[in-house]
Amino acid sequence: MTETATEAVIRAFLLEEVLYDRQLQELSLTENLIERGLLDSLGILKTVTFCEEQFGITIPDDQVLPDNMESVRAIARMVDARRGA
Amino acid sequence: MFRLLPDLVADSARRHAARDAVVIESHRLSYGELDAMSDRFARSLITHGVRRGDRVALWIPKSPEAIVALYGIMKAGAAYVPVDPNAPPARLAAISRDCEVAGLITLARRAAELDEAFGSRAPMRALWFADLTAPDSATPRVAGLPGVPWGAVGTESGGPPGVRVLEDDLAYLLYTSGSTGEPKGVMLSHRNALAFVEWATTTFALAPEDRLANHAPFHFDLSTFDLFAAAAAGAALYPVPPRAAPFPAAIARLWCEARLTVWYATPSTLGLLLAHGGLAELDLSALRVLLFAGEVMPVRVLRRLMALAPRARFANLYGPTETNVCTWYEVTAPPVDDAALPIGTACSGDEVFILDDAQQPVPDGGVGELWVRGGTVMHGYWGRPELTALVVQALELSPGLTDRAYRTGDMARRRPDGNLEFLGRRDHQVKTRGYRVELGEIESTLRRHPDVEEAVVLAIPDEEISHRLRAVVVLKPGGTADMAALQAHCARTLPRYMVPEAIAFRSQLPRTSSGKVDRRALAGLAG
Repeated sequence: MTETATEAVIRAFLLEEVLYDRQLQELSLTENLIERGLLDSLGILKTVTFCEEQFGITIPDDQVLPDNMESVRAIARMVDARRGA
Repeated sequence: MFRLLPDLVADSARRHAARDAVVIESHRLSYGELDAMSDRFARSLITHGVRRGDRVALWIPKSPEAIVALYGIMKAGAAYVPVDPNAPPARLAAISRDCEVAGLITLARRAAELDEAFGSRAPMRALWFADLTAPDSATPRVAGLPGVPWGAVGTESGGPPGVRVLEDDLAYLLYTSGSTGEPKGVMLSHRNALAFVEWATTTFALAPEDRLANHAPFHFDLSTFDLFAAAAAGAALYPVPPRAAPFPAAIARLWCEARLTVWYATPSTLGLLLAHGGLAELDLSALRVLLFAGEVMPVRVLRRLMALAPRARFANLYGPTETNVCTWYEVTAPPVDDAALPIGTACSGDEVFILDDAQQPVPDGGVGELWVRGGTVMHGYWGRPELTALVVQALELSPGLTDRAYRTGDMARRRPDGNLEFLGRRDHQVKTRGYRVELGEIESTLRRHPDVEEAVVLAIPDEEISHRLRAVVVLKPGGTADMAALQAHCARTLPRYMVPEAIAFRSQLPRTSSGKVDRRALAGLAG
């Protein structure tokens, strides 16, 4: 599975700043972050703020929902869609 | 009057078996089903060696199975021990060993992690996999034990298991942060829980038509209101589906669309629903009771909530896990100034006292420590009689009359109108997002890292989540650990909300003249 640039940036941020575990190499792009209990409400807020600043976009609160946040791939898809918009 | 917590479900099943007991997305359990399935689960526990007086751990996301299991455990005469499903498996293993659980309910898909965390020293005699429906030869093992698939529970015969359980038997153990580095298990009996549940059900006039939100995880004592007050009233419980739990917008929509009538949550959660959940655009007309507890409610958050639901009742509930809710304050009109909300007056049949260090009542309006006596006061901390003796003590109520009472460690004052005001802690316990955290537990975790010489954890006050956690660390000579390494070290044994969000490094720590670490000076460095 190839990793896009957006996915790589988000994955690195999650590992270092939210999950506090750079050794968690098995975090795949499609791993369900919510089901595995890796992202809680504060982790979600941190991730949203990071994406807004890093990619120069705004993510409205009503888009911060499970479908857009449940994996690295889902987050990157939302980010790329908003950058294109 | 009820004698035991499972009686609440049995009674509601007799009165209206078909009514919803639990609704999680498309999964619905009626009272009849909940009562019958928890009977069968109790029998399965007994078949596999669980006995009255045992402890059985739950490490499972919120689900109908989790609720069936906790009632089944109590029907078998055992106490349920809910462990944060998002905590690392090492924490589950530590808690399971601490209270020597006889059984564990978990998921087969987490068996590999569990097997690693338990190694060969597993205390339990049996485990159940709630996500395996059919008996399967490929059932994974944990510490050599094959799990009982949930599907096999249904083959047990029906009807109450017939275990004689007493009101003072333990119903559940809730583990809270411990200052010496190990979490401690608060022992609560059926009688303890019912003292609160009966007060709450009556006071808020809960009825079968009510729909109660359940946001708090089951290891958090706020959940005892949701679970047991709903069952006492024969009302429907709506646990937040695990998939929606971290998303304020998803929770707000769910609660408003399902027209939930009773919400109970921490001020941090309610603040998030307001700030990020779009609550202001939703229809809150069904909401009739909004309760909050666990930390100080910011008055501006309360004012906004009261404006959105002008016909609802609002109440501030107070009490540590050791006593459940022991005081309450009903807010009848939006506060006009920004003064902190009082914690009110005693409830749940308890009595509260404000005492000085010699256990004497302080003069009217004076500041002292809050003590609690009555039906909700815990039995103690599991396996820690010395620790229990420090906080549950004989209190002389009048000459020659004493009773056991719990000293909360919270400082308080009684206002002229009789309502109590909470004035802070006398130790290093803090709240972050409603979770109770002993800074000492994080400090001793940091000190266990081989590179760390000294560590101090500071709670930086924060409007939205009460406190943010930061650490200041002194490394041993030659130590090379950086912030990320120490955060990863903490995350291996602590729940994520206890991992410091920033760590500063210093060559030494500032000291007060008496040689103690000067936390006040450090707060400046860490901020």
